Amino acid sequence: MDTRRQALLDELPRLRRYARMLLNDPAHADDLVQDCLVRAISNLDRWQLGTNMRAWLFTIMRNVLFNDLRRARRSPFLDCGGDAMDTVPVAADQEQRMRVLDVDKAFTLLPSAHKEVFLLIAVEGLDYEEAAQVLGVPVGTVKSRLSRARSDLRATLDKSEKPQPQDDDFAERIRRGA
Amino acid sequence: MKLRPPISDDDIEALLLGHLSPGRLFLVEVALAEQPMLRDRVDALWADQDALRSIAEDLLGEPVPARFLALLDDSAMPPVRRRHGT
Repeated sequence: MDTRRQALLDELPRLRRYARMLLNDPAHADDLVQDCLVRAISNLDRWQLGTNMRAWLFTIMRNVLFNDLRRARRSPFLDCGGDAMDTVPVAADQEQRMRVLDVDKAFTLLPSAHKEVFLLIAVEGLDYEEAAQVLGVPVGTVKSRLSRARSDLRATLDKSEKPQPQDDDFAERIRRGA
Repeated sequence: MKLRPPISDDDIEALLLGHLSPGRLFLVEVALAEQPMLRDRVDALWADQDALRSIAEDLLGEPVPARFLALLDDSAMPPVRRRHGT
């Protein structure tokens, strides 16, 4: 196997993971990976040795997704049942495990544009410039989306972690027999 | 009297991503020690990122399906497209 193919092979698990976390449907995610791979292999001679293979692949994947979207006239980000991350690591600590499950669920609620930046930068380790290139938006947009993604994720989790005042009222009314 | 410049959102982001220079990191940590509300916020954001990364780490451990490896292996053959469910 030549260097380019080896580099592609090395990135394959990450590419697949990115698709899995971006889409909430594992089967759809793997179809996306397959289409992306086919395109990457046929364009492999265009990838410049020494440049970021990961960013190159994410760009291709994004283009494939975008074309799917236009062709099918439906959102590839729609939930199609199944959980993108139903295999949550078994944490030693139950509380930590519950936390991870909560974050998993809250993440699926983020808009796809926010999931993308979150994954590209905080998970896949791209820098702002690389992410901006993958997404075709200015660096400033990448930064603001990332900040927004973090805040929205936290807001969702804060809401679920705090007791709902309405529930307290309800419980109080029950106690009073109202 | 302010002795130090306030830390910015960019500082917080760089902290979460581990990109702060040692000098800046020190300033940010001092600021966080002085502002419990900000520190709680950063701790929460950090925990969220850790959780997301642990989910990601787990997914990375999954074996790559053979159909993908076959695409890469067989350089002489044109890639065969197979759609899910067909």
